[in-house]
Amino acid sequence: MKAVLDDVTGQYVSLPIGEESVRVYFEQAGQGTPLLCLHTAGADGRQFREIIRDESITANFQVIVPDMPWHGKSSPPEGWQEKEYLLTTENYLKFIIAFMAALELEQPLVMGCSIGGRVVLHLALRYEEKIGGIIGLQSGLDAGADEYHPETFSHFHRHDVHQGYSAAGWMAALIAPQSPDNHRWETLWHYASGGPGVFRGDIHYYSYDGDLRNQSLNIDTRKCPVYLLSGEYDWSAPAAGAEEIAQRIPGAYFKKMIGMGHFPMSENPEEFLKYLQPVLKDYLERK
Amino acid sequence: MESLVDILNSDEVLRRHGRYYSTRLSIISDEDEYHFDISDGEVSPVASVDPDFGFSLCGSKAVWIKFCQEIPPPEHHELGALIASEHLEVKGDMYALQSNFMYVRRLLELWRNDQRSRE
Repeated sequence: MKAVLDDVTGQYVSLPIGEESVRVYFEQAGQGTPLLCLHTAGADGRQFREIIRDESITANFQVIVPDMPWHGKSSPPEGWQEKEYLLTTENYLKFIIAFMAALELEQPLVMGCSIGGRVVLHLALRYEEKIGGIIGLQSGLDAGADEYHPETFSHFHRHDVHQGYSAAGWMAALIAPQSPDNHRWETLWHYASGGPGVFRGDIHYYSYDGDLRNQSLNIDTRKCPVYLLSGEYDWSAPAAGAEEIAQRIPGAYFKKMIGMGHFPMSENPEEFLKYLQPVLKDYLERK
Repeated sequence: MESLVDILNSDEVLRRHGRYYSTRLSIISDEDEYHFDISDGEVSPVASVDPDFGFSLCGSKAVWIKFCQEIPPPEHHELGALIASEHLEVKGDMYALQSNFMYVRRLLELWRNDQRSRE
């Protein structure tokens, strides 16, 4: 087997976020319109490993993929051992805005999946002037905040359960049966290797704090195009939820991805690119 | 049932996941029941559910048929999907399931493969 060197560069940035400083790892490749990619809960930027290496994308886009603080190769803030990690809408947005400022990203197209698919909506609602558009993968307005009981997810963070195996076992259920085995198990490895309590802390945002049901979705798609792509096999953020969002935002684009689950860019990148490429083409034409 | 137990006991991945796992696990439908005793990963067939030990995965025959299809439909393709979508009810010790979810998922995969091979 021949060694292959990727055209992907990894770097760190020490990022002030409020009172804290966090060392954040990110990868980038390509040139052109900035495309900022946000990973799912309890995982990291490796989910976009094929997107950032795809020459049809990097020919026109500067693809930037950070690991959120506490995730992947990004560190938690100093004193993590004294804290319980909980992701909130506020600290999620603060991280993204601080990261965009540090890298001087001007009006990037922001693509996020799952929690990332939710936060792109928060971004468009709150910081429309700072972004060029959004692509929500597996977006949903909520994940049942009114029935949210943190103890339901205790198996993702307790001393007598292997969090990695537990998370991987459950996330396997969100991957479509059509997805290739190599990508299925790579996706699950990311879950198996998360830091203690981090996945459960992200679920706090996904299931509770980031709930958008009671907010108007007042996004001007002429200024900030909205694209929503959702996998058929996702029972956590079902495609019907994203379709409903698209119906509430005039001009929003929605497409159901057949034979795809909750992690399209990671579980089946080849098929996902067939859905993503027309979206990117449309975005470039509109901009 | 004996050939299925042989399959389970000879699966290296299942044996590795189950090295320290002991429980009683049942797969139950309207028509069939499969009961397994697991002792440090060694699987043995048993006759019935133990109400004080382990857990049962209970679903209708129709649900298990969908689960066993070559390409199962959404909500029926994986153990977690069946539970989260409430097509499957877990009765008994939930901790015994949650603390060894990968093991149970693997066992169910092997059971499904065996079911498919009999069609």
